[in-house]
Amino acid sequence: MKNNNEINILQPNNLDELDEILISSETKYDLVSGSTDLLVQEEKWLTYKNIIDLKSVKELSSEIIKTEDSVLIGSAVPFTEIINSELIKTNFPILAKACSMIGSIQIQNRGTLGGNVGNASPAGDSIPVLCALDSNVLIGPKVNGQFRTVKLSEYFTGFKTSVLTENEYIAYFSIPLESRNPSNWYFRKVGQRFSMAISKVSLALLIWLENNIVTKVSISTGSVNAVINRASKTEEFLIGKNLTDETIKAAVEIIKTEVNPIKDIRSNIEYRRHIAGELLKEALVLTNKP
Amino acid sequence: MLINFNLNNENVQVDVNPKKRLLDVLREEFGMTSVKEGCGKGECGACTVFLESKRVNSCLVPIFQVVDKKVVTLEYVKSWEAYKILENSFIENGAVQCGFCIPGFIMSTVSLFNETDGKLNKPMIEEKLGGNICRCTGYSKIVDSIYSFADDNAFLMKIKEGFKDEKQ
Amino acid sequence: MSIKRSELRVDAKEKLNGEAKYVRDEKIPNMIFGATVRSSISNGIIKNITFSKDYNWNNITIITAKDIILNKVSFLELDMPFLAEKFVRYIGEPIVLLASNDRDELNEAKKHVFIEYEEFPSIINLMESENSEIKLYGSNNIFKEIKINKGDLESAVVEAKHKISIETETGFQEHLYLEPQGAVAIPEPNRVTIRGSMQCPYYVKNALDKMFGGEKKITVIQTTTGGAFGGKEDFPSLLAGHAALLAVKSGKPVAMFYDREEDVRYTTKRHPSKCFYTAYTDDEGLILGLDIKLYFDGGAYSTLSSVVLSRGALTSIGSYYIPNARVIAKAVATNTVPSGAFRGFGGPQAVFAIEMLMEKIANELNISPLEIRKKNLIAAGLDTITGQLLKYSVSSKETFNDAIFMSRYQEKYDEFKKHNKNILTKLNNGDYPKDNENDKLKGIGIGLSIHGSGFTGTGENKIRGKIRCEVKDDGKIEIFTAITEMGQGEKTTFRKILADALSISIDEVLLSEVNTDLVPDSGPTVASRSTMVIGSLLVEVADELIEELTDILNTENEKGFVYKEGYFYDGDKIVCFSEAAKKIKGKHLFKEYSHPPLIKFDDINYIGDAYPVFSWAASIAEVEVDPVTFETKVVNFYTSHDIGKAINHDQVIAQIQGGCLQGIGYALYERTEIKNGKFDISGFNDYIIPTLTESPNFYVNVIENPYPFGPFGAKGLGELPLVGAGPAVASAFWMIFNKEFNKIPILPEMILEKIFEKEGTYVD
Repeated sequence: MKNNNEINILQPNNLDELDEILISSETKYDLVSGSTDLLVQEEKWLTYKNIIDLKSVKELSSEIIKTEDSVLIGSAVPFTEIINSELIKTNFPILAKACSMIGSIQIQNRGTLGGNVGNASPAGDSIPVLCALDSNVLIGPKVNGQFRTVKLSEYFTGFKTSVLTENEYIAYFSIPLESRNPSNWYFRKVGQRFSMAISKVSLALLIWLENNIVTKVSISTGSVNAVINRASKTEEFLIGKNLTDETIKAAVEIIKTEVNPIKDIRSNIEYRRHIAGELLKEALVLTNKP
Repeated sequence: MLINFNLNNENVQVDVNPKKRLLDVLREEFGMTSVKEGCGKGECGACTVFLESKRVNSCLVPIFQVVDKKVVTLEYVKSWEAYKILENSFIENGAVQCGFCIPGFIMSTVSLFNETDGKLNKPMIEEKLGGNICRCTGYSKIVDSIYSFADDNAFLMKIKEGFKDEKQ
Repeated sequence: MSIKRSELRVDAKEKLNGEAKYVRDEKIPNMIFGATVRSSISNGIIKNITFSKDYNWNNITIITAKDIILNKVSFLELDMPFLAEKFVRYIGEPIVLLASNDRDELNEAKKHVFIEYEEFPSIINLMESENSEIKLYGSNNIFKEIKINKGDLESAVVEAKHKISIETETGFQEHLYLEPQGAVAIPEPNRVTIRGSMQCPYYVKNALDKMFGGEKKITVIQTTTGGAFGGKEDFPSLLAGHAALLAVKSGKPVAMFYDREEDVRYTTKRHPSKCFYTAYTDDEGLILGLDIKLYFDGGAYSTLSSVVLSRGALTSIGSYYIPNARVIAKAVATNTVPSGAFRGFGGPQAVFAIEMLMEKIANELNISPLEIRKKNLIAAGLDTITGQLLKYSVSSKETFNDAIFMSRYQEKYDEFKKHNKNILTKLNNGDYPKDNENDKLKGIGIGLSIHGSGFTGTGENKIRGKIRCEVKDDGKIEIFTAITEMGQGEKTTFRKILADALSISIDEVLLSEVNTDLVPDSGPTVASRSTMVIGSLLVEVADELIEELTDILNTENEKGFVYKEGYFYDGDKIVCFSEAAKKIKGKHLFKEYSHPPLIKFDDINYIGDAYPVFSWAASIAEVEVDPVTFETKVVNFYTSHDIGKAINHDQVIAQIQGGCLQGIGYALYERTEIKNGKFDISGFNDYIIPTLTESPNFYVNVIENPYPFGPFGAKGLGELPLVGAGPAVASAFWMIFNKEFNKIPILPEMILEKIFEKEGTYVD
């Protein structure tokens, strides 16, 4: 029964050490980041034998850096660091807001984007926002010095499944600078209560207008589809339109067809679908207000 | 696995299953009974401790993640001057009932002042202590106990002293 | 003698600094751990239990039903086994117990116990129980049926102008005390000692005495208890029994420590209810007659259902005067975890029903929610459903008026109606309903509540709560009582009552640990009885001490001593209490409670004084509803409570705030349902209780209308705050939407559904 000896913990200090382990080994490793989503899944946690602690990888757990065309966020950076990062607050306040609504301060001090996305729950609060920000996922280990890059909107392949293969890890989230400075942004999470809530439905929106005409818009919803994705039909409909009451009402009807929620302990289909529409309505109406 | 870390300002070593929760190690190996298990899933806050000066749910931290890190529990914080003041306030305000959530509340409160530099209003207290659940009090007297220091600079300095002390 | 306003809690410091020892904090040498193998089916016969041959059981202690001398947990009836033997009645019912020093091994071992069943259909819905072909209890699955008749309902039916009916529904409520259930049994050759988190040590002792058939001497010690709310009234008897069985067989101390998931899945909940009320009124809404049917879901075994039902039936007319009424109340069996005690004990379900009936009458007859209540309010000189004439300490009107005044109810009602109109119109038209981002629908609601102090009916006279006090060598007085501290403040209250009755410092009064070898059976810590019942005995102790010491001093000095403010004095001498008390050091004083003789109740026909006195409350809830998402929040909560006398004022306020928040949770957030035969929750993440953000601003007033037989005039407090909070919150939703809200919790999903009901309008 005792399995202390079977458990193998590796704590690489940097990316090079991490990649070396993963490339050279035939062992299948279980990757751990902030542990907040993992330790509550007892069955899954029990199976973890050969563990790599991504928190110990300096770059992944500390870096929020600006490149020429994007901001890179290490997958193991705790939410608190993202919330307090000047780089994020200035460029992507929507992400700081979403992270500040996750769990509690205690959770924010440990939890990470990598964990949130890696766990692939449709209720992961940061995912719709990262998706709306048009983020890329940089996947290690590096091959020929390069991370594999996948659009977040293409990262998930089904309920709790993703493109990540064995011994691959999420290294960074790359948010394009093009997603900065929208005319308006909106994020709202609806839970069963304010604190310590898992979302019933959430919606993230970034919108760019010129002369009252929508030139660009990105919308993503949480907890209403098996896979978090962009509401592309709604987006397409809105492009080139003036946000009149009629346009907004039509967009609400479109997004309701783009969500496919389930009934569970937290909410039901009707509510989730209706509220997804109402959140979009709110986001668009507020865009119109000075 | 041998685990070395700093607990309440002392370097310690334990030989435990590396997947063991920090909560269990603190309670079983070190007798730190202020760290309570209310849910084991990071939802009630009764097991709140400081890891590298930040509050965390010790039920969600596997012990291998505290290797070479600093952990502080109420057993240490209760020697701080700021704690004595807070303790007195909780007693005077009648904020304690069954008491099971209270050590976690104290840890979160101490941390809250550190996080915000003491610039607190009631909505902030409500929001930032949302990770600590109490079933007895209705929270009202707990908030009263804390709010009285919302703009008390001397109190804030004492909190900072505690955290400084811990970093030495 | 006079009562001081407030005393600081004597247990606060050790709880704050983490030194208070809850049962999991105690270091007990050689202790091992127990685990429970549970039924995986809702109803059926156990055909076979096998322990897999290829597993090494050497290190594991095993208990099955065959190991138990009397395999019934002693509550009011002997129907629930410690371990299922022939049949199982709910998913999660304990069947096998295992113990080992290694918890990982225990988890593994559980997987190697195989139980073969013959499965039968089951009853999950309480309304299907009575007429079901499936028999779980007796011939009709009814644990208890109560009938109460008052006046002449038939003539009221004829006389009435309106017949108005409502069906209400309330669900399970989980206590969610912060400290999960836990007990340790420590075996000795002829004795078992239980240390655990509990409300009622003598319940546990009696259950174990019976279980061992008197073969073991049982000592029960209560450890610091991290909340209970009724959840640790009946359940610890089962848990301690399990620990004791394993301890005796293994010869080692055994801990039964539930984790949160096991606790919420398999321990008791508040009884779900379905209530059917039909009122017969005149044109002004005065109720002439009331026809009531109550159904409570008792779960798989009877436990405390009959007395929970009893309080429900007796509380079913709430704070109102009903001249003619008929009550039929039934507690029925279903294949679910046995329901148990929960703060309010049948009251919250019944009061929700009568208060929602008031809303419905107001709504149908177009009378204001205040007016309908005022018109039907009971008062001194009127009688209750059992014909109990209210003679003293009746504050129905005072609390009502106070709460309305304090909250400015009427003013806000008008203001909020006006405010909401615009939002509701836009909602109707499918427009974005807000003028600005923070725009909310605002509601204000009222709920009146009543709670009988102490046990129902003749309960107190049957149980005869006892205490003992001892005069210590230094003249201090030590109290020995089985009443427990579980967070409500008993440790402070009892010492304060005796100290104040003697006009001495609280430091001169001591309180023994709760250990059944030391303390007499004071009765259980339930039913809002501790302060009223045991408190009155403490005042008797004080009176006796003063009288005796005065006599001694008079005899010694041949003078006439007078006792005042902690001192005995005459023309020459003055002696402080503790000095005088030293003269009788070692003396024991015994007291036993029974109701004043003028309290009379007929348990069979439910006629007479169901309770010696009632406590009264009126609550007003100000609610905000987000018109986009229908998220709800109680922002302000006003309540006026008459509890006779506040023994410890600050802690009375604290109790009221905490109880009201549990009632608010009951009304807005707290839900669990049976899914695939078991509760669909696992802990704090899916059983939603209020956090700080969901807690309103509380405005609490205490009205003191003394009960002549209570200590300093005090009557019951603990449960009342929870009872009326839910209805006050629900009332605010009637006010906002002008629709029937007859079910709690009121979830945003339910509001959305109401809004899309096509019939009717939600704009006034």
